[in-house]
Amino acid sequence: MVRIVIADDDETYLESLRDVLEAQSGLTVIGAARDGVEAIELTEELHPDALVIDAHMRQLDGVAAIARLRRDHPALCLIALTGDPAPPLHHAARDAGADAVFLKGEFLGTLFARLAAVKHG
Amino acid sequence: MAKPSDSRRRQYWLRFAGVALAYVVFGKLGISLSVAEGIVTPVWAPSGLALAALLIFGRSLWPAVALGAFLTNATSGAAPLVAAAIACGNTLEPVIAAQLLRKTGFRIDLARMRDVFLLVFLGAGVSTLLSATNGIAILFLAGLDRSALASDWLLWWFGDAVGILMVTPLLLLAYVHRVGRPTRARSLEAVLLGSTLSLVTALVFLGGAWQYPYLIFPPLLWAALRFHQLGAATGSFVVGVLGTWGTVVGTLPLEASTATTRVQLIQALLVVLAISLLVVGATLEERETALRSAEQTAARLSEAQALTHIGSWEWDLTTDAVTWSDELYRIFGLPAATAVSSAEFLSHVLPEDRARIEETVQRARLDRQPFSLEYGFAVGVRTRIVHSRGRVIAVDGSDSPRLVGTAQDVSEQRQAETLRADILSIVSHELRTPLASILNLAVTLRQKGNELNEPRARRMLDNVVNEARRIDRLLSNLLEIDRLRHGVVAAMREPTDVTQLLRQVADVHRIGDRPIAIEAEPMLATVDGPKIERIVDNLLLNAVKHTPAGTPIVLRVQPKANDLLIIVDDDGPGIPQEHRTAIFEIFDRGPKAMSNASGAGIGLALVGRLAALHGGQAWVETSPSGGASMRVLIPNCVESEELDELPMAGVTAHETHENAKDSPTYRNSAHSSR
Repeated sequence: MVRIVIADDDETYLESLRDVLEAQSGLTVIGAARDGVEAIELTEELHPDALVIDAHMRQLDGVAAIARLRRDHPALCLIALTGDPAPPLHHAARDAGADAVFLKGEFLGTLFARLAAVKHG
Repeated sequence: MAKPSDSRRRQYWLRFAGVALAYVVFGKLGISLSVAEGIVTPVWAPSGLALAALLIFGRSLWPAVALGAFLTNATSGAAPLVAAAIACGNTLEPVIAAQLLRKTGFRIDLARMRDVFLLVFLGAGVSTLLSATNGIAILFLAGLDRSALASDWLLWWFGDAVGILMVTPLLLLAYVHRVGRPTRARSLEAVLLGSTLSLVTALVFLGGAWQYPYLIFPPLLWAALRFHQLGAATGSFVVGVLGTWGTVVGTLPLEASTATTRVQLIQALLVVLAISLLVVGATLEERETALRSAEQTAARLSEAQALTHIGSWEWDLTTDAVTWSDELYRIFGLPAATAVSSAEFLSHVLPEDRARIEETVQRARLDRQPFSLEYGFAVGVRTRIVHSRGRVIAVDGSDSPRLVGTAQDVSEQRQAETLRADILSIVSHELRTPLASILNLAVTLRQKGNELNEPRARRMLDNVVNEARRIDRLLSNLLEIDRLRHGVVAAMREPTDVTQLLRQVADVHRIGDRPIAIEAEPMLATVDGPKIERIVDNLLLNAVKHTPAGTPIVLRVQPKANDLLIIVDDDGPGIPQEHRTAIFEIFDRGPKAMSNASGAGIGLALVGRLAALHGGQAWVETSPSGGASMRVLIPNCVESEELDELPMAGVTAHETHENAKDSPTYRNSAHSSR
């Protein structure tokens, strides 16, 4: 089982993301955070295999949280989600240390594959 | 009631009688003078009168002239047939003169040089030939006096011409200036000038001071310079009357054979004087017209520039002299008419744009092609975005070119464009999140539906529905806010049970384990129910969206004097101080300031707009638990009975009632409900 923490400031999206990820075999969501600070706290506490985080949040931006976590956890799989297709945010997330950046509007099939591969990679 | 045609007819006959009578009076006066030779007189004011009458009132008045001429001649010793024949010439003269003048575009205000010359040549010079020739021919045929045909003809022609030059301008200008009250100072000046001129002229022509005729020139010039054509015509007339009088009564010791010749001599002087004065007057009028038209053109240009926010500029590259229009000073925010050089101009241009301007100017200098560019211009903290077009004007192909062009303030357009782009990005962001949820939930349900346990599948379906509703609400909000922005929505106020309304709204949001507590007593408020519903809906949605599941949300409604206060408290992270204003004004100020307050979006912007529609406002405080406390105040909508217990309650209630009646929103709603 790949243990995942998710973070998004949109409550409904967070809930649906949890259900969608859990529906995939081999993935389990062990924590859900509503902002960047909570995401860091949960990661420190639960030691997940992967973190899926919205790049654009209030109370410590997703990009800032990614940078901080990458510094402390070089091996953690960090995946950024964004609703904004504009390249600058994608570059910012990548530069901060995200392993991948996915667009929210697309079906997350590639995200599932990516997460499923965490244990092996 | 007289019909218009009746009153017009009466007016015609009044004019008819006036012209005929005046003709007879002036005609008899001329004939009765001692210098007259029978009915041939050197002083013939009626021809001037007749021409003025036909020019002013139209040629349909010719019968009045004919009648006046006939009566004058018939009662002065001419046989009826002779009088009638002479009257024909007397009538044809002004009719033909008026016709000629009208055809040549003569204007009765004599404001142009050409009007003066037309009057002198066609009016006084040409048409009078006819009357004189006709008159002398008739007299010859009638066998009255055959001794001095040539001198009589000359006397007749000259008398008519002098009459036209002395009388017609005066009557025309008196008619033109009949309306319009002069100022006190000007009236006083006119009286003073009139007295001076009359006195000096009387002294010269009647008082024996004939050695000093030049004394009359200063007051005449004064008249022409200060009162233009009206002054010139009046001055000539005064001098003409007194001069002729002096000659007739013999106070002027002129060396001439007969009194008639003496009068002709003095009148020749008067004619030259009159023409000179009219020419001076016309010159002054033309100059003034040109000045006024130049001023008007400048004013219109300036007005057009102010309206379009386009200024114009000129830059002499050789001397580096820069000239700006008034509007350009306004656009740049610099005090008008301060001297500028290109270096000073560039010092205000934003540093990142300077090189581009210099480059563009250099290129334009070489290739002589028109150019356009945009740059920022800062004076102090004020920065404007300016769009400038220009081209090179080479002076006579020399190498000292000038640049001329326009500059337009496009700051507002650029800001609006930026804001529009920002709004689009926010809307697309807000739409994308629920759409992403629906897509992922639906695809997952299709692929794994059978493997999922019942409660989870159920919850996923619920969320598909919720997210679809969210998109629907988002689009409704967007349309509503657009209507509000364009001011096409009015608050339709009706007495509404607000508490009941809020309960219904809260029920919609009480999904899952979301506790929404309501603290409110039954309350009636005069508000637009559906809009209040929308306000609360968006406040609750915002709270639900930004706080963890299970944390309580409290919806409170309080009457505050006559105001309605709606509060939504949550246990979430709260809203940082710096974003508190921005979240309600996203569509006014742009979302740049609140990039970190993601998701506040258009829901709260709509809340702010709807509160404003009711004359109220929306703001954020900190809730008791440290979360956000969203507040909306709708003023003057609660008629509370409890107010009776308060001191001054009666007055307050009354005043508020009046205020509510006077407030624009109230009036609007009353209007739109009719």
